[in-house]
Amino acid sequence: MVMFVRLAPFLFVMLWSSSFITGKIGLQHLTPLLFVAIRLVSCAFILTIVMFVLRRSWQPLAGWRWLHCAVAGALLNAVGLMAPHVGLLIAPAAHIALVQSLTPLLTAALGVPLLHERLRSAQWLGLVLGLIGVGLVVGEAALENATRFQAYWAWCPERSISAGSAAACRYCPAPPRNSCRRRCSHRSARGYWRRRTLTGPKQPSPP
Amino acid sequence: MVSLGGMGLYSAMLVRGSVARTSANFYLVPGTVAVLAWVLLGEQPSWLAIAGLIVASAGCWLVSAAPATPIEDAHQ
Repeated sequence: MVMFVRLAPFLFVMLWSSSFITGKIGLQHLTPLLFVAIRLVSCAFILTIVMFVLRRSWQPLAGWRWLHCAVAGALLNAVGLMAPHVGLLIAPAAHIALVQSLTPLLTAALGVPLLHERLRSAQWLGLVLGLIGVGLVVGEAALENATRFQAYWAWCPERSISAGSAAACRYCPAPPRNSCRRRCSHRSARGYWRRRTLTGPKQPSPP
Repeated sequence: MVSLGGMGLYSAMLVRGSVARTSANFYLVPGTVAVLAWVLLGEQPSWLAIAGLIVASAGCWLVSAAPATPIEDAHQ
């Protein structure tokens, strides 16, 4: 177990990073949307079997909660995965990974006008650094390839949709531990959900 | 593998560690992808792109690593 705890971050980074490489290779044989569809349907199928095998309760999704979580999950995962797969066709894998990693930065920036959140000075510095970093990569792409530049701009509203969709998880009053909350805490909703669920004063402490 | 294994590892790390520390792993991804893409796909990054990757990753880390401000505080 100690070995797992030590190796988990390394394995996670390698596994997550390899998805961009395997995606690039897989897109030589499939269209982007078919690739995403096969990936997500396979996951849903396997996870449903796991739920039955482990005899986990579906009760947390009772009522209309399943619909809220389904909408949030579809927007975060399906919409969130479509654009990077399309982008992988025309841009280097590292550039797509960089733009994807900026989602929490966008979420934090959107939180200021939309959720009246305050950012600390270090966070403002981070926002500026993030924009400079993207400016370097995207600016270079703009100079060498107009099509790739357009792909980056097309990405921006898509990421905003993903970030906004994270708020849908807010309507899951008791999100199941391994679905809604975790999905939201990953990627776009990291900062938002941490404030709402993990450190928010009106929310129960996570076990 | 990535969707199941990656999210499974992420969930396991969330249970055993802090959210901030776990989330920080995401900022290693662009650099790792750059190295993997260079080795496996032959996508050689330019110096400008490498600089952009480092600066943007540092920025993301700064935004996410700062202690969260509760929403109630923001209205005070």
